[in-house]
Amino acid sequence: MNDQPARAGARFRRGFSIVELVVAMMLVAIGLLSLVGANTVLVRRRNEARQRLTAVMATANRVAQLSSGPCVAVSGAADGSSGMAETWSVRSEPNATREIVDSVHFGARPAHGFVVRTRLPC
Amino acid sequence: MLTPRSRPGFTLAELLIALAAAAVLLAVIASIALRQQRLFAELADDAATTGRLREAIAMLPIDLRAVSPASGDIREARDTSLEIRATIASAIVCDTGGHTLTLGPALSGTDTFAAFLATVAAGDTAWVLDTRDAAEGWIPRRVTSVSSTTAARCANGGPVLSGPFTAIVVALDTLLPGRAGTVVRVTRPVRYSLYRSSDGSWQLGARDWNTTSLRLNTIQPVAGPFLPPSAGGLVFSYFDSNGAAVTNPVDPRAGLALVRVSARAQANRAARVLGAASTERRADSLDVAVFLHNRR
Repeated sequence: MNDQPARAGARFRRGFSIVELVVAMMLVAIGLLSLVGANTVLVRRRNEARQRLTAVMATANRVAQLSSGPCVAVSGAADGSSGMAETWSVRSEPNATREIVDSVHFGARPAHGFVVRTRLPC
Repeated sequence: MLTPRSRPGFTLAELLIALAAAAVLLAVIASIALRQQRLFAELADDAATTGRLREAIAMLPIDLRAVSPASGDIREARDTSLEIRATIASAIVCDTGGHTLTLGPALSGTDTFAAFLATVAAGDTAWVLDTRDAAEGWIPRRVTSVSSTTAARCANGGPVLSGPFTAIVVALDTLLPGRAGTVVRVTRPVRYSLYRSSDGSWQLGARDWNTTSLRLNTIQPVAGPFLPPSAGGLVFSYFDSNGAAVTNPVDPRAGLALVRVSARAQANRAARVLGAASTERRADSLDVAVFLHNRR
């Protein structure tokens, strides 16, 4: 292979073979693909954040709406956009107070959710 | 293959193949980089749109929550504008004297007797809680001048304080029924509306009260831009405790219990990556419901 050891460094340089080139390109392509994969994660996180904001606002608004309402026991459920499901209830408590509970679930795989519980005078 | 004489190098075929491969690779890299850049720009645009909406729905409830519709704090209520009396200060009365009220001092910590969001000025309205009957109404008085004094203690019934403290003295236009220990709150009108700014965009603006001219100042932008009124850029809606729409929220007996503010804004650019090749600019909306405590 290297039959001119004395002059190899000075006069000859072996170039890349086509196989090496293809391997290098594949490596670059894999790197780029991972970049694209990261984008998917980015967009998914952003959608999750948006859903979370929608859910938080829906809960806060529901609690405000129920707080403004009369002091009677009620319950209900509503479905929002992108798989959001909300259930709420108002329960009369002793000493002229009421408990408002609102729970929201949103997103599929993984499903998120939270419960807001508050007590107010009648 | 290589003789000592031959010069090593690429053959034309090798060069062409290498160039073609490099061209393909560069094209792929360029398209991915472009797409990447567009995605980041769209995400930033999207976040900015939501940010504008959040500004509006975070700002408005601050003043709205303190409003007492039963006391006539709603001065004017339309679907794209709302004029209210915002509470700028509240205090326990320390002492009274003729037409003046000495307010309890604002102290650090929990045992404070006053809270000021803005400096009380002549032209503001002071509302004194009338505890003479069970109905407990607020009696309005116009503030004619404001000064400060150093007091050693409050009158009987007022806050129990020892040592000299600086207190604000508010002179009122007419005699008042209040005495030491009653509650006073000071209000000043503010008007929020969706308006068209000089650059043609629709902004949420606030007009605060000029205590010298006793008029609303010129409008100042608070947040925006939002969609025009025809597209629901900013909508106020008014409800009673049963969830029914209130037609005349200004009326203290209308039973206004909930104000809903809905803001709609549009992204600056088309969502070509985020919205899967969409050529439309994304519209986003947020709404907030404000439950009014001070009602009957």
